Amino acid sequence: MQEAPLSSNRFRAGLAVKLAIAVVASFTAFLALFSFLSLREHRRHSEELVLQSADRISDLIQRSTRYQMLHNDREALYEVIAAIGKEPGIRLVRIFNEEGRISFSTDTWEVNRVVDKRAEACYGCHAQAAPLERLDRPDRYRIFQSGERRVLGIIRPIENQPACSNAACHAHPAGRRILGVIDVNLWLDGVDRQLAEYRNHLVFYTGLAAVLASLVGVGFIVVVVHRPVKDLIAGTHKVAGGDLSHRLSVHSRDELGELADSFNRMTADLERAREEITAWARTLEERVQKKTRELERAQTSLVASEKMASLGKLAAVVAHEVNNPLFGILTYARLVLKALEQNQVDPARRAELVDQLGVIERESRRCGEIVRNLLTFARQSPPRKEPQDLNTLVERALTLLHHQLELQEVGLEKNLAADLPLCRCDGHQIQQAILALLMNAAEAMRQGGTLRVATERDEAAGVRIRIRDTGPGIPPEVLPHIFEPFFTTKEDQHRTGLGLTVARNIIEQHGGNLAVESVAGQGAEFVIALPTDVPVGVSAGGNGGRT
Amino acid sequence: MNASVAGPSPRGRILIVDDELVVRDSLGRWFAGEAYEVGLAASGREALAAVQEKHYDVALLDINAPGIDGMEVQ
Repeated sequence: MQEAPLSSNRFRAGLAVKLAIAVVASFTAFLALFSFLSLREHRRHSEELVLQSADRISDLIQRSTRYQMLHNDREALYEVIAAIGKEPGIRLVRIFNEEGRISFSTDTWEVNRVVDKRAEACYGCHAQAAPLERLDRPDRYRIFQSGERRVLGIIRPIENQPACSNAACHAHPAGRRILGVIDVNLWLDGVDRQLAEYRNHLVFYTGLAAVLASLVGVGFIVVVVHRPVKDLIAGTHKVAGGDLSHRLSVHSRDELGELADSFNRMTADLERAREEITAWARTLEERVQKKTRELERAQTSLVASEKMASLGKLAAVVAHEVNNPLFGILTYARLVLKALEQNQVDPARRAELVDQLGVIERESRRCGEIVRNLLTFARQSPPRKEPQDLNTLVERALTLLHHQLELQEVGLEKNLAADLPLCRCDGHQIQQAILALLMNAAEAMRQGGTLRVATERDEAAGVRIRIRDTGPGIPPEVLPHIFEPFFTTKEDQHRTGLGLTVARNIIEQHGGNLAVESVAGQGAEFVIALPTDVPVGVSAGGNGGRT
Repeated sequence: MNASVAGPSPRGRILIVDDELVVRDSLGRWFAGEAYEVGLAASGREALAAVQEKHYDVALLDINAPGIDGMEVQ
């Protein structure tokens, strides 16, 4: 984020500065060209005016001297010329005769000198060997430097006229065309002063105009280009930074305004799209949560129905188990009753009756035992940790399954350790877990087999209970899933597959571990490991996963 | 396991088949008291052996017995 504004600043300055330089340079160049041309034109015009006046002066001299020349009155002629030469602005008036000798000059030291025909004043006519006899005005004047000052000189040839050749003095023969030349020199000081003043003014106003035009141009660029572009770039950076609610505030009706409008529309579309996506994500999340809640409710009700189902199954087993002793009790009771009714109480008969009553007592105890175990299983009391002998819990669970095993012709091998330490646990829950594993083993051996139940002491883990069947075993691909809720491979459709899950939960809630090993075709072995001294808190916490 | 209780003049022979000792015994005593000649068998296999050895008028079979169940013994 440090690089971009820097480079954009450089870009903005570049664009505006380029435009400004172009505007200022073109204004300055055009104005300079204009003033140069204007100055040149003005100079030409001023010099033309001076030239006209010089021409008029030489014309005036010629006309003024006509009379004196005709009378060959040289003194009067020179008088007039000297008077005119004293006029301000006139530097010099002189007359050359045909040989180039200065016959008169207002500058007296020149008089009687001969000028070189190749001198600048003579060059107009004497450039060729034969001198010209007529000259147009532009060729008759020349501007030259006299010291620091500029001088405009104009020559006027004095032509021979019949009056001259016929005059009494007859100084000029009729064959001559040019009698002499009047040369008038005028100072150009005034013109130059005026020109300098004009030039100064022109430079000042041109400079002022250039500065003002440049200021207006640069201001226009700043307002029309620089600021909108700056806003545009700042806005795009904001939007690119994720602020989709930002809108560009460029309202000009040009291309920049159009660009800003398009950008704003694009940003609005993006914002709308993002809101839609956010809304969708929210809806999706809500739906997932709703479905999760529904699934949780379904799982809870399934767990409840599984409990009911296993209770019902247990009730059937128990009913069958209780039915046999009750039948025996009933029959013996009726035998005893019949003997007493027939009054056959001789000593031999009496021993038989005592024997039969003994059977009644024994079988009644057996019924009581079965009922007590059923209660142990069914009672949903809160977990109550007490020192328990795991061998007793195993025996009780086996009692409940005794008949089932006999029916399936499953042999039972018990190998319970005599020195098993007591284990602090909830006896009802642990017995329920053992029973679930025993029932699972029994169901794996519908075609008969051997159930091996062993308890052993483990210095590291505390106490182990091994429950091993000789069923078909658990295939390797199924093994990782057997503790998952609702997983079952049993063909019995009434099972929901929660038995092993409940067993593992109970064991883990006691800080223990339930593991399984199985080789296909050689049965399976479930191993419950329980710590003998469960720390306070782990059990109550619920999910102590000590593995 | 072929305990038979014979009365003075047997009214007939009954074979009682049940895996539960208390059921078997109590029924046996009951029918013996009613002057029947009673045969006892703990399983289907024993019942078949008993039938081959002696003639029985009636056999009482526990239908839900381990091994060969009552229906099969018929």
